[in-house]
Amino acid sequence: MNVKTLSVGRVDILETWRYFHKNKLTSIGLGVIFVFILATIFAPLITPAGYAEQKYLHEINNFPSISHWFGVDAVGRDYFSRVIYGIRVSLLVGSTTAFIALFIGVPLGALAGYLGGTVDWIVMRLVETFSVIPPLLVAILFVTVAGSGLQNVIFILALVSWMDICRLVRGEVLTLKEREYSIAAKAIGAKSYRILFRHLLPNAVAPIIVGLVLCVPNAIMLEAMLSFLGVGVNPPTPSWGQMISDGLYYIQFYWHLTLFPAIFLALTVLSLSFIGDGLRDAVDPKLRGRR
Amino acid sequence: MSKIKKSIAISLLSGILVVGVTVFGFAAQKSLPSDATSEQILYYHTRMEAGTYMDFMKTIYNRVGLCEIVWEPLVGFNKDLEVVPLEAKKWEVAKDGLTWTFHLRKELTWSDGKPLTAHDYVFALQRCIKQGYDFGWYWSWAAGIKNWSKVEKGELPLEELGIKALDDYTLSITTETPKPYLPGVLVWLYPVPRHAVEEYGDEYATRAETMVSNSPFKVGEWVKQDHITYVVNPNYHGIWKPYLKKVVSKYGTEDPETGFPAYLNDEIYKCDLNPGQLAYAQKNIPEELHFAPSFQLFYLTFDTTKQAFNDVRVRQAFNYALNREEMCSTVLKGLASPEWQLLMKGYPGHDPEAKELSKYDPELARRLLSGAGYPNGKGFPKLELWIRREGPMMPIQKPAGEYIQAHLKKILGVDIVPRIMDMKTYMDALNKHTHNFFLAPYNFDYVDPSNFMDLFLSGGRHAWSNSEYDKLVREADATWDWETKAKLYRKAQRLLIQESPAVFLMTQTYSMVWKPFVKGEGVEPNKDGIATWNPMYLLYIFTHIYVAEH
Repeated sequence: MNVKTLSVGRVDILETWRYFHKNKLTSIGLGVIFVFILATIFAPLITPAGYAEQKYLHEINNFPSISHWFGVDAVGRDYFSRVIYGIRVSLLVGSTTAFIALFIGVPLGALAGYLGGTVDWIVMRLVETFSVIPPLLVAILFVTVAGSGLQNVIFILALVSWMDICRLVRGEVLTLKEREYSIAAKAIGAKSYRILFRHLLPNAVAPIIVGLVLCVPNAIMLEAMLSFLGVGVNPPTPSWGQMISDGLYYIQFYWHLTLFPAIFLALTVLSLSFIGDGLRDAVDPKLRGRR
Repeated sequence: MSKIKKSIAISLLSGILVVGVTVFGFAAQKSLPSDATSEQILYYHTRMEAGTYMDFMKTIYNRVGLCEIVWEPLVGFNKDLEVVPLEAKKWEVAKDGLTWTFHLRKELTWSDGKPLTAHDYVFALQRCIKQGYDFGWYWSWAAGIKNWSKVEKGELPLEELGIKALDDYTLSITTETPKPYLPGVLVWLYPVPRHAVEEYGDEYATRAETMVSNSPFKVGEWVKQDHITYVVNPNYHGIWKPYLKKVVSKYGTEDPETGFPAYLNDEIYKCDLNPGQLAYAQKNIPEELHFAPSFQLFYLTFDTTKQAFNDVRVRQAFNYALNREEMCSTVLKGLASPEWQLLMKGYPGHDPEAKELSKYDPELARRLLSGAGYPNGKGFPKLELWIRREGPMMPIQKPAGEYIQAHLKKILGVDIVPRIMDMKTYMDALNKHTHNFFLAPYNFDYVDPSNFMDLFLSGGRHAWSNSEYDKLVREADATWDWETKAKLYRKAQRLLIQESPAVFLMTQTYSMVWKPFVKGEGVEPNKDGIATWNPMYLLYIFTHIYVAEH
């Protein structure tokens, strides 16, 4: 690590930040996610009841009011609590999925790109196989066999979202290994793993980070879809997808049951996408200064 | 001529016509009340064309359209749940209690004018057994038709089946064991037009041109994926003559989500409501709201042969831990009524004292559970409560599941996860006992305690088996004297509550709206204060309502 510049791999964090926060949408996205994270950390303090407590059985389907900011749901739970705790579930699912995808995608991609030949062929066929299977279908099948629940959902989501990162890393490694410094390292007798981890991957950090961040909103959306279809997270754990699906019965009259989780889902997914986009622009010197 | 004069003249003329036709016995319709419109068109919803045949005796579960109003059964229920003669004018049972003789009305004809005879009934059941009918269990189990299973397996020829035509107008039905309530079971026995089947095959019931039926209505127009109209059948000579002249049923209006907007827009005159719409209707159109309690029971059931539930104390703990009254007055408000026994309120054999035996008692429940070795639910296996995925007309299961989950956690400290399963997986697991914990629905097929009590016989739907229960129920089933029978069933029910192989929770209440200008007996409350029944009474409803001026 350099003294003057703070960096991760070959990405200069301070310089990236300068470009990053110039982008308005990205800043808004970052702000929203920051607020959400705060809300979810302090959820027990700001919500009137636990997410599973049927405390308000006699105020069922009440509209938003001062005592219930988002109203009460069909089985007597404070809706604000459910939506806020839902942030936890969504962010947890999104980030865990992305990290698992990272740990599957990066090694496979790096190996495929660096070794080439048969390994590359096998990995790429694997990527293609996983890419052509519709993720929802796999997920539904898997959940039917193995049972629903948070862990299973995260596992299945990781299983269908590692391919992008894998492809990204392979492409990076393919071009980087032809660079002079890489050839030079090889020429002085550096071992393969050293070249890969010391020279190639640090240079590929930028696209990996972007891939990682963009993986999160996709995973959140997929989880919402699964829960919407009733094969996602188990009740009473709050999931926005499930809340939207339950609220559909009532949408004609009790709009609040669908509206609030939908707004939160949209805000989260949009914010994360903006952050991802901004990050890509910031870490990629070729795109800088174009706006 | 002024408008008034004109209308007087028209009504006079039509009055003369009606009188004339009535006198000569050709009228297919009742004369109209004074506030009725002259068109008498009822707009009604219908399920999407997912089904195949408009023929009850071909398929029950995949039928299409308003089968209920184009077919008239041998006997029917009126809205007070009494068996009334329809196609049969009277019947008697032989001394042995096994052979029943039904006398058909001689004037009956099919909608194409051909005579309807007892042979058409024999043909109906013979075709069922030949083709593998999806409601076959009903005729072998509920009706106990003689030799049904033997003929089904091919051990005996078709002619040995316990249904015979003694002559054109006399139908003889024989059962394996005495079935004192047989006429009530026969509300699902419809004739099949043999001549139409022979000419067009079973496909006769898939289009208006070849459709032949026997009720007050017949198919007028059948535009696939759009609408079906039913018109008065001029060849109907039965007793339930309608006021309505035409029924138009439009596709895509069956589900409350699409139906209610259509209803508010006067496109259909009746609509079922989902919970959200119910609350709206209660506030805004209370006079159009009708409630229909149904004999559809929901209960929790356990696999009593597997760990945890093989201990009767655990089952009893679940029974005492659930506060049905709270559940039905909060999360299921207006959608269900609480129930504590198998023979629900209003059903013959209901035991008014049974409620006290499974009363909500959290203290007792906790004591029982810790007696079984699970104090505060410690060490209790994590359970999945399987719920059957249903159409939009059964909106109560999911909230009930969530209530039960929260409540059992609170009272017993037991963790359960409600999980909605598709129909086939669910039914397979239930019937083969491969899962241990269900929220199960059961809808009545006919009105006799046996319909529900038989559910818990050994070797049936549930793994629970009790020889004393079997003996009581079998004995009651064949008993003719109602008092003795009721006593036996009461004993059996007590046993059921004591052994708790199931926890009876609630019955579903359907809520719907009818336009206020649809009038007549059909939409008025019956003697128990209940207005409009489920589809089983559709023929009764449709022949006892009219459209008033609006």
